[in-house]
Amino acid sequence: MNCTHWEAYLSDYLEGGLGTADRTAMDLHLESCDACRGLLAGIQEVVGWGEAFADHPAPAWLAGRIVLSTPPVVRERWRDTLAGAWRMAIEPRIAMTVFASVLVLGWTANLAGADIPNLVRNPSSVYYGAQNLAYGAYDEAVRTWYGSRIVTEIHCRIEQLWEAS
Amino acid sequence: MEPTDAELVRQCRKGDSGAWETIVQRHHTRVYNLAYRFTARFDLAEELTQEVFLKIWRTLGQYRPQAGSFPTWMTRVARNHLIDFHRKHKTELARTDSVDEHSDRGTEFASGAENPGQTFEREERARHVHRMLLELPAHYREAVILRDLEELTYDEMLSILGVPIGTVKSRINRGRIELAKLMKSRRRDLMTGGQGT
Repeated sequence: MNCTHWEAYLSDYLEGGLGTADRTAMDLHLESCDACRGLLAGIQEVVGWGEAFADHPAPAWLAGRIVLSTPPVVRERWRDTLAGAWRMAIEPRIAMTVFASVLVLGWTANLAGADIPNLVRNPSSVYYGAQNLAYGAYDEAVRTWYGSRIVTEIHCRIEQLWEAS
Repeated sequence: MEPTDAELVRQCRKGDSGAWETIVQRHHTRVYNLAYRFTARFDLAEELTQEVFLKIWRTLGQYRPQAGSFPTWMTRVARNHLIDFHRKHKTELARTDSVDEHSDRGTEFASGAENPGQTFEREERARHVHRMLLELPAHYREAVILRDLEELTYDEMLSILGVPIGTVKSRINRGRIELAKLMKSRRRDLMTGGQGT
């Protein structure tokens, strides 16, 4: 293995992160390689420099300025939330949009034959009406399926097989 | 007993400005030093520390104590901000190439038993290496800063950098190697220059 291979493990070697076999192999390589030994010494110097690197005290005014430049927290109460929602609802653009939507939906439903006064009086009729429609569609589908030619043909074949056996 | 960072964050979210002040007092030096290590300029470090804390304040709601410690989360926010800053001001930073050399700011070294001459020499060497550190590609530089200057563990680095452990280790190793090679070549240049004069 060449030096490029061993270079990748120099930091692990220094920090004791290699297994026994790898460590021994690295020791053997270092004994015979001046370049890698020099590089290892360089890395040791870098690590040593890092350990001795100065910690600079921050200027005394810095913490105070950070606190001063932080925007204050304004806690929103539920009353503020409701007031905000109300303000939004009475905005002319929103109010007009809601009004126009109700009008268009009402006209469309009327044209489609919906009994609007009854719907308003009895909203659950929408659910039951939809349920009836769904059941009706299901029954129709089942009837069509069993009345179809292919299903009848399959039934006949199965019966013939039974008789033959 | 002093409140933990997680408790302080909870109080901050409820609007307690005193809790925020405590967080700032507790952690601003760390962010300041990180910013200085990335930029090597005190004026930029001051400016960036303020920006980082404003970002922390705005994103405080995203901090989850169960996902890791507050300093780790804070360092991640700071690191992202510093990288963004570096990307935006890359040319300007490269052009000025100025490690703050004539600073009257105090420094705190590991050893307290040094005479002024030794301290000066050590400061000079640190500035010299710091200047070379700034020449490394950004991902190697941040790996070396976080590991060798901030002394973070691999787990913390994983959480901050968001890359696999193999990549973290490889970046640290490659960063150290590049820095060692730079130091060696500068030393050689200095010696050959000295012989020529």
